[in-house]
Amino acid sequence: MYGSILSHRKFLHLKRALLLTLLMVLMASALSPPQGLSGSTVAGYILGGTALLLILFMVWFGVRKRRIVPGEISLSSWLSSHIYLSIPLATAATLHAGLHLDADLHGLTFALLWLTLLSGVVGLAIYLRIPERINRNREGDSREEMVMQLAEVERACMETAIALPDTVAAAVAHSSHALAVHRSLWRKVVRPEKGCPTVQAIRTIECQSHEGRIDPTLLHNLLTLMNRKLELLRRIRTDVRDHLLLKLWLLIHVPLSMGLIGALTLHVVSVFYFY
Amino acid sequence: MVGGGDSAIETALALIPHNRVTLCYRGGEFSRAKLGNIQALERAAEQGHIKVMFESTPREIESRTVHLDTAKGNATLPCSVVIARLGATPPRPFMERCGIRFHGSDATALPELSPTYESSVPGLYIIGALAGYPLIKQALNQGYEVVEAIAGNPVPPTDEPLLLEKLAVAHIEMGVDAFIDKTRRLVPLFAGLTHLQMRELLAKSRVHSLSPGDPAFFAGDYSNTFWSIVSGSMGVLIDPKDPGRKILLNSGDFFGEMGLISGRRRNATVVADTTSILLETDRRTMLRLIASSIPVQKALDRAFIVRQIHRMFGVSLDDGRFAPLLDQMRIEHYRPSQTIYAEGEQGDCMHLIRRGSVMVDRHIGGKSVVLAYLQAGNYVGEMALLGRVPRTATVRAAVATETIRIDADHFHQLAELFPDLKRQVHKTYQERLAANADNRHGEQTSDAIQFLIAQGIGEGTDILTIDESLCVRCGNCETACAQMHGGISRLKRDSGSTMGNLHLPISCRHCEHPHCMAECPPDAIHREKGGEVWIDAAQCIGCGQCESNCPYGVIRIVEEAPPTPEGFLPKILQWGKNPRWLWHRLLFLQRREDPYPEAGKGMKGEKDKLAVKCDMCRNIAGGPSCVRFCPTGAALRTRPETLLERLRRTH
Repeated sequence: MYGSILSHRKFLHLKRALLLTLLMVLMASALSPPQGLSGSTVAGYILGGTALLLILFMVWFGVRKRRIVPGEISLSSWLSSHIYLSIPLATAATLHAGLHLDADLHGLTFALLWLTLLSGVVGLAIYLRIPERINRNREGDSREEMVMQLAEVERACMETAIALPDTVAAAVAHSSHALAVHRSLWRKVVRPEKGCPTVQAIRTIECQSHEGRIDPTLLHNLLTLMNRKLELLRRIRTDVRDHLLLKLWLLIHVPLSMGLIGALTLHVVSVFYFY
Repeated sequence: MVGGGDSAIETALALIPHNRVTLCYRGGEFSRAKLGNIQALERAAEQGHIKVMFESTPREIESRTVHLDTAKGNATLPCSVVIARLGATPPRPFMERCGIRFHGSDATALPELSPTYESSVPGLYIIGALAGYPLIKQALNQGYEVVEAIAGNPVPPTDEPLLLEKLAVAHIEMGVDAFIDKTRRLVPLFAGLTHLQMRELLAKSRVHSLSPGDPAFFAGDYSNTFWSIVSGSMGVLIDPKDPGRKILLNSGDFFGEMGLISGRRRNATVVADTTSILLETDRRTMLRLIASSIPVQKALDRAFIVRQIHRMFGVSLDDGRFAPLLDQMRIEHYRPSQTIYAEGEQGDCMHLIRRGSVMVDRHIGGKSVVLAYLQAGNYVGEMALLGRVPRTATVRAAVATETIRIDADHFHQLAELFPDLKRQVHKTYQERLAANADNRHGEQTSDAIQFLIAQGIGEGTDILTIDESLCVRCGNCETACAQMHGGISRLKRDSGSTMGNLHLPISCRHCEHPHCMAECPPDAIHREKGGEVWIDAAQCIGCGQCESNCPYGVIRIVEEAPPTPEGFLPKILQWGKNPRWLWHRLLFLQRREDPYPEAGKGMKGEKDKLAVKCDMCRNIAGGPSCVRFCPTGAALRTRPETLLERLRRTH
């Protein structure tokens, strides 16, 4: 409803970023020496300097976000420019490297830069897709409300299962005592439904139904309830996973950018010290 | 001791050392009192210092005995003094049975009192909350004055120096009593007030002495004080660009009643025309006055109708010959979602909305679809008067709403006299016909509007909404809010209700008529000119009245947060004390503020409690921090009209 971060102020930051990119390409082609671009040419120094300034500006976003002070600050404007400035940054750095990658400190800096940029792109994709998905999945309920519904359904399942054979009742009880969400971070994100005791309990109930010794109405009721529980579990797990995804990518992006700053410092110092 | 609240228990405990005390309470257990008081009372009862009788009420008091109705039947106790601590809400039926007369029949009307607080029953004095003075300090001072008056040594009222200072600020060299008499003589609105009521009015007012050209307020201000002209004359600027076009108001007139009643922005600038002395009275005092004095209420309503019609249609009815017509125009009150008129009915009147807002909806394809949302200052129902057709839509009150009803007869009488009025109403009629024919908003907008109205945004002036399709749940809005407000966030992002992608978190809407302001004992809640409703921490006593009065749950009672350390080293040391924080910082996770910092702390430090709510970062450059520090632009604070307009455009 309020317009995406990409279209912020009618794509103002995209326009600026493209203009900057164009300027750098033109400058590089005008100043490019016959033996080709590299970091040690005039064009290379200008490109490298620009890329350095861009990186510092983009890293400053992290500080800007956390330093909450009065003033005419629009963080969304900062984020929009943080995203789009990656275009001139990628261009400047690649031209500065002369489309060339060695297995040394300079190559490491270049690789870290691209990894940081790519992790940013992944983050952007997450930011653009996940919020809407969280909302669709929640269907207007909060997580607490979903958990309350789950508890309600579990209670109903137990009440129904108590009248059924012990194997069924035990399977249902086991599924109720199990955690809805895995403890491990990995399982919270990747196939969170793996090893779900509710799925196993449903299988047990279905096996019993084939043997045909139980009241079919009771069994049908229990299966309906168990499937409703499974659906609630799926929604809760999706909710947990999506919320984690919104944060997890930062655990890659931020350390990478810190690493980049370190490598970049060494790169700049070594260039001016040794050459 | 009769009663089971804090005051009853505290008084009973204080009496124990020199008296034999019995506390009788009509309830079965103490539910209103503080835990500490209840425990102290239980201890005293166990040790035999006091007798506590539950489910018992005094039936009759005789000399040295009192008869009680108890759960086990009647009981009679020997007794020399009965003290009843009945609470701050005046038990009017009881007082009337005592023979006390009141100003009017309204539930909030106050008892009639002499300047020494003597009621209409000679020898029976009323002070404090029962007399309409909610603060303990007032009751203490009045008690002193009454005792001295009974003893025959009347003392000057305690507020005398304060009132004199108010006059001195406005360079008025006159005694308080003389000024009160002059005001009552010159301002007809106050002619019927008692001396005590006038003192109270003056205590709650500012006295201004304005030179020609000095402004009282500007168009667009959100102030809602009421101004009365004691002497001099004021000009209401009709056209902000042309200071020459103005309506003159003279000594005895008043202005500012529109803001008072509708709760909306000032619609005109008012400046002094000659040197003038004015009384600027705060909203709450005026509302109390209106409730307790029928002549004041009538005079204000009349002025409101005349000025509203003048503003809407440019027609002045401020003339004696219109009085009979104006007498017939009634002010109607509607509850939220009550129907004002229904589609298909034969219409015989139109309504000018003077307070609140309405929803206009119509049955389309078997479903009710909202066509429009109109706020105070608009009118509805003109189609039936002009087109002589049945009502084309249903109009419902979105919130508590008041309208001025103009019947068909009166409208046509006015239209004969003022052809302009008819032309103007006709123009609105045609515009609305065209808008209804071009109804492309569809059901989605209609649903969204109904959702928002159901959430009470009709009352709001500035609403925080979050577009859930953009919100990345980083919690920066809450962090920013907390950091700008001494460590306590006034916003709970996750809470509130959602429809589609539109999320309405629990955050103050800065109501047109703030419920929180209505009964704040120390008057600690104020409204800025920009509309922000805020709580002055220095004045707040943490009583929780505002918290229970707010229907949207946006006010919390919290303990003052410890100050955040300044500087790099102290911050690091603080993180060291709390390893979770340290890990949060190391992993660059956003630190979520504890939404209930007061939880689990019990009674300790209770006196430091404060009511907190969103103040729209009123003194902070850049405006609301939750909006400024939302990285994806998902949080937005807007006026309800703007929000609904945006919804229409999006769908």
